[in-house]
Amino acid sequence: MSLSIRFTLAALAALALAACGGTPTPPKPLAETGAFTPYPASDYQQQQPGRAGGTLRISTAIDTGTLDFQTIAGTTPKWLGRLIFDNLVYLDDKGEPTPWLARSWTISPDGKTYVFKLRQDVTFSDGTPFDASAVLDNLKRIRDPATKTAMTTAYIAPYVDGKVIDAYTFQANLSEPYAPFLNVLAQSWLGMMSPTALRDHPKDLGERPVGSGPFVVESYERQQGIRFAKRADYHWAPDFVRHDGPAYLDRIEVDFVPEAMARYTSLVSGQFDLTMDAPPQNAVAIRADPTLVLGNRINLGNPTRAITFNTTTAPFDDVRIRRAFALGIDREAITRILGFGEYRPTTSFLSASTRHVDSAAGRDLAYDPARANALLDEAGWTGRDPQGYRTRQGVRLGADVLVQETASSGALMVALQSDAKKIGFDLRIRQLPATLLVKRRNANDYQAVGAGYWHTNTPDGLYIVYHGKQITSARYTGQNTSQLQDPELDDLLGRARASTNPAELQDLYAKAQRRLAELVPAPPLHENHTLLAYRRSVEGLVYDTSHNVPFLTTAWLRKDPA
Amino acid sequence: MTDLAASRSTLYLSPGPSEAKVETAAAPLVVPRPQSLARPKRRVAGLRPGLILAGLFVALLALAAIAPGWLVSGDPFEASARDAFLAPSAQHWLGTDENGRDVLTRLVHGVRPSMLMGLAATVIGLGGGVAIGLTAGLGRRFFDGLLMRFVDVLLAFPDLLLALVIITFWGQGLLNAVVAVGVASIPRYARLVRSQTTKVRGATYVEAAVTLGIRRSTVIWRHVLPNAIKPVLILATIGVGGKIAAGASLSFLGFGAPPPAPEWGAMLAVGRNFLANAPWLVAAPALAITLTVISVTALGRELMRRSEGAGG
Repeated sequence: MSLSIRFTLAALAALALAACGGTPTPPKPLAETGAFTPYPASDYQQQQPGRAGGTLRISTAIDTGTLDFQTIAGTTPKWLGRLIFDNLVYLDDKGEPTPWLARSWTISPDGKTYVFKLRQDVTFSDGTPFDASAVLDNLKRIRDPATKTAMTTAYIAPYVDGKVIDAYTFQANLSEPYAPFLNVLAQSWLGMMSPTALRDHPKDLGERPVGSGPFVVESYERQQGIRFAKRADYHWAPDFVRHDGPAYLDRIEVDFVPEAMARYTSLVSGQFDLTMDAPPQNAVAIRADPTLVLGNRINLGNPTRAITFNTTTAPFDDVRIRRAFALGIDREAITRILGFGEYRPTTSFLSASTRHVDSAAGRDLAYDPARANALLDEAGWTGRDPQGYRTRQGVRLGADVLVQETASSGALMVALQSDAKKIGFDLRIRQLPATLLVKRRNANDYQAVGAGYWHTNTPDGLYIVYHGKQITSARYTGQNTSQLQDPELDDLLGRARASTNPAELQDLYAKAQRRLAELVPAPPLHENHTLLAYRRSVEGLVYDTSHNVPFLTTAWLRKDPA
Repeated sequence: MTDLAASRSTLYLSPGPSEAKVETAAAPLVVPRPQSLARPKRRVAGLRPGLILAGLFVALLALAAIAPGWLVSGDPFEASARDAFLAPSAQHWLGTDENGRDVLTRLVHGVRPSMLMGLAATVIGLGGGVAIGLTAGLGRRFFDGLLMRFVDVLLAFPDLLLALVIITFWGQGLLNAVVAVGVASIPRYARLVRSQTTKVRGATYVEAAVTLGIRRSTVIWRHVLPNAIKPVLILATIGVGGKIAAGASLSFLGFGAPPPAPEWGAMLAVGRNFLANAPWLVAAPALAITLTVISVTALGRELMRRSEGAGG
């Protein structure tokens, strides 16, 4: 009987395989682990003028829910913000601020006063001129707790107030020296909105945002898509991008396509010109297709972590257990099942493309199950129960990890669970609805939470995620989910925040990363990648220096598909 | 007396093997019979090989549900990222999944939750439906109207949507999914039981029992209930297949048992993302679900055919 079912099922499966005509792709070699070469400046700058006209059709995985970027917490739609809004500054390829809506700026010697000289020829799409009071209104709104901005507030927390010196001169007053201020102002979430719109229809900015960007929103249908039209009078792209005048594309049509398979097939069939979320499992096929181009970029900020330990709750309040868990993670194998050879495994606390990354700092966290076992023995978990898990005084070594319930595979958590089992650790996956998860996280009622990453355009992301002041309390919502509170680390990160001296920054951030590798609040897993794919007919595509997503002002279509 | 209807059914519809043989061999001309008798028999004879296969498959499922270890030796939870996405081979007959687990092992271990879903949900739906249907069919007119309008409102929702609403309130998990699918099917059964009850209630044998002075509760228990429920029971066997599909749909949508539990719907949901590079991940659970639903439904239909006319 046993044989017969096996044969029947195997035969049926073989039949199905033949019917699909699918030949299984051989597993790709493990992702490259060599040194990271910085992206060349030409990736970010227009190389030659393009041809105007045409409609670019884009598919993307998820709806943002709102186009009011100052209130968005997610990092996926950052490229959309660049279509609608402009920022005061724009980074260059090295991460240095360059002029955009602000032509120049001065910083006081104590680092607490910034004076911006603004462009005088910019208008918002509703006709409102851009000036110093527009900047004041925007920063005031972002800073206002009533706006409920999710991430922008943490970024400009040191901003106290501003002053309109004259129509095109704006002064920002900070409570403390805060060197990443300009970097943060370059991020898509801090784009400038029309003060008229902020005043007249604050409630529907989510559907009808008004910015000064190269495109305007024609329509936005939830869960369907967004339609953009070019602004013909736009001529204030960031200097660094080297683009004059309006965008080349007449229109941009964005559709939300949540199914990974559908995003791949609709790109291949020519229904879309570009997908912002290329499924990693189809990367090999996309790379092999002569009509398509795959873009794979490592984002700035912190890499994806495998799991985030709650360092104040057993069992992860014991650093030996945290370290042992990290050592038990077969990072390369897991990264391969998630990224199909496209993701880079990493043990660093800063991404490879971020300034001041010290790739040697986390080397000690690489896969080493023997050392993991030795550490757990040392911590006293020497017993074994019938299922093979470690015990101490009759108690099994294990923890619940809270993850949001979704229909997606959860392959990462299952893989972690199996790796943990190999060192005798019982990792139990608890799926919760999003609201309940947030509630338990804010109440510090968890042992560990699932994977996460923090994307920002400065190494100050370490402060946001690991500084003691960033722990969530009744009055403050922070990102320090590992509840880490370490005076030495806090001091390093706090000083780095105030410093503008590159040599000192290098030293402080190197020390901070080494300290993090000692504390292991969350084991780094792989780089946070942007994976996109487009048809070869899309030309002139450059990347955003802050976010490593396409900056579509310079994109053009070789042949009009219409 | 009680078995008036039941005996009628044996009279009408038990096609003895010899009879069936005569029927097929002697072709259309001999033995003039009423159409209603001849038609079901010919179909039964034609379906026989398929039915045997369906029966065998269901028996196999039963075995897999009771003792999966007899069919496959591996551990459905044993994951190894380094063995992920292996194509079907001598070692892994149906290949491995995204976590390097053996697909055949998980498929066999997934039989139990699927069968549990089909059977338990049907029992819940049937139990609730009989209770409501009997109460409505035997109760006062006003009460009957009230219950049935409520049931009509519930019937306006597709079963699966109703199940989703229930899950939203109670949270995910296999048990909740079973209850949700079961409760969602109550209105349908309630309607059926109620209409049967009103019909049986007016039957002559019930009238006779009442005339003889038998107690009301005894009449309901011995005469009304068995006769009202019989056609519903047969419909329920067909419903089992539908419930298995509904359970798979729920776990496909991520509302079944949380990972890493082996569930067909969840396996399908994950596999569809890898359709281009690992089609076996979809093919195996899809075939399993399809064959199971077809087999169970075919057996149920056969049962119905055999008892056609029994309950009227």
